[in-house]
Amino acid sequence: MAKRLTRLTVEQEAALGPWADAWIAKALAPGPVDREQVEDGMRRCYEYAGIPWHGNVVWVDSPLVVGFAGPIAASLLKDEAVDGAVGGAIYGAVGGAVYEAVGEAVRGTVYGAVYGAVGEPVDGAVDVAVREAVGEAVDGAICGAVGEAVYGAVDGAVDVAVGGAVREAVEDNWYRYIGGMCWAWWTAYISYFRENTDLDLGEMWDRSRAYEDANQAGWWWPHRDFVIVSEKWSSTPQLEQVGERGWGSHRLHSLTGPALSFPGWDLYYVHGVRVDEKVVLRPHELTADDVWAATNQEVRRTIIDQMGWDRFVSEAGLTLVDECADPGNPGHTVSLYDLPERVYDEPVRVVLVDNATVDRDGTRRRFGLTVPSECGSALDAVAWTFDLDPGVYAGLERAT
Amino acid sequence: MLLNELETRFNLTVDAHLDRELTIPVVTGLQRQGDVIVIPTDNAGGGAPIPAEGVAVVRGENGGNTHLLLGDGEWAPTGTGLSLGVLTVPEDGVAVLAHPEHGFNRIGPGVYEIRRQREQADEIRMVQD
Repeated sequence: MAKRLTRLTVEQEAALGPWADAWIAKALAPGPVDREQVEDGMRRCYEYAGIPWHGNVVWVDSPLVVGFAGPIAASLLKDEAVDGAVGGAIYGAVGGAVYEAVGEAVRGTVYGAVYGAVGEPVDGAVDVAVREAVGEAVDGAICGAVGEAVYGAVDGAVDVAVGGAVREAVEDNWYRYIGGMCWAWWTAYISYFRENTDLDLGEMWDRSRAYEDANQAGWWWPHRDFVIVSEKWSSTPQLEQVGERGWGSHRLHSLTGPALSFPGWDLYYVHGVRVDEKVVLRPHELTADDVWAATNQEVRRTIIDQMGWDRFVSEAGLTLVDECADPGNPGHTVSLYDLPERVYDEPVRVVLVDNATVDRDGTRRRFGLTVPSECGSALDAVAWTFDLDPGVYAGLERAT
Repeated sequence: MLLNELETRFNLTVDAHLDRELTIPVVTGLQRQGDVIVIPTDNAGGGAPIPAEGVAVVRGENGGNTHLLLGDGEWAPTGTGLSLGVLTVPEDGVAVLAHPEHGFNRIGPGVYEIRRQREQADEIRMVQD
């Protein structure tokens, strides 16, 4: 049994990709989870952290409830929530300790001198292939969104709904959770070494199993006297892959329903931008007023994309600056409009062009491209989008 | 060549609603395929031969909607700014740009810069079609 890993075998390297894939699939799979396994894992985590196990586990439907209920319950127990919350202590004793032990065992200075010529550092290979791959597909894409949504709800609702000490308790403590399957990057990375190599970290492996079991569900908010834990998402999160494995690889996206669902809490996303249900399910009901009502520019642009630029341009009463025949697209017109500054930070115009090829529904999609306000004519504008001289673009022979 | 002949020649299928009998002309001037434009240039050219399976000059989201370069010629990717690379099509050769929604564009002998489309967001961003 090895105390330190200096290289991966061919078989171990070959296992990296499938390991990441299996963990991504496991993490994305919807609940319900095996609650006994989770609660037993929590008990063992408390023991490793030296905190007496209370046995009080409250299951709730979503991380939104966790974010509110944990701090509120703590504050109702006449306790300063920050003192009673033990998430940090548990992560430190179990999650953090194991992570550090694995790190020390697979990195280290001896490695560089002796085995530097052999190949990639073990940690680097596993880190990129497993931890980043799983982390970005699950944590980066979904759990960042969940955190923002909970934070948004806390920020928006608490002021109105509750007062005084409870408000402070929620605002200051909602984030003292442990991520459950949101943090699958941890279990994927750690369990890779545990299950695929002969690295011997003794009791640390037992701690890792406890933490892994406890994190099979959703967010959990551990307190000295209770745990509030969320079920996993109730259907598989809808993701689109926008890059290679690693940083920024996935984002939430669905044009047919919620991209992320918990019982009683549906979240809608278009290309990673959170929007109201109507934007996704009933885009034909969208109006220019919905665009102006949105407080965030990304959301405004997403609403415009969903309602269609041509409809937005006419409903918002934008001013036509210029029109010309579309080069290479006979019978079609390019139109340039002024766009109010409320959509972008700077003065911008939008040029509307018809697709040069018929779309699946037999029509030609008319879409808008934003251009700098310096573009004085429709031809200038469409030429700018390709960084071409307008005179050159006018000679376009064929467009598809 | 017709659209369906190009599908057979390169063993790939574009969207079902596109006209299979459409004649695809060989063009040596400026032409556009959606958000990608082919610009005749005086550049030196060069690069590696286009492989039989083609080169994705733009890879679409989820692996779909890729602009795939096929046929005769050499491709030198640049990957800076809007420019995707330089295409050199030999005398009596024809290169082809294929896309599931836009069908085919045929490119005659010459040297071309292939460029993406941009739009003015808060920062200038590339167009994803």
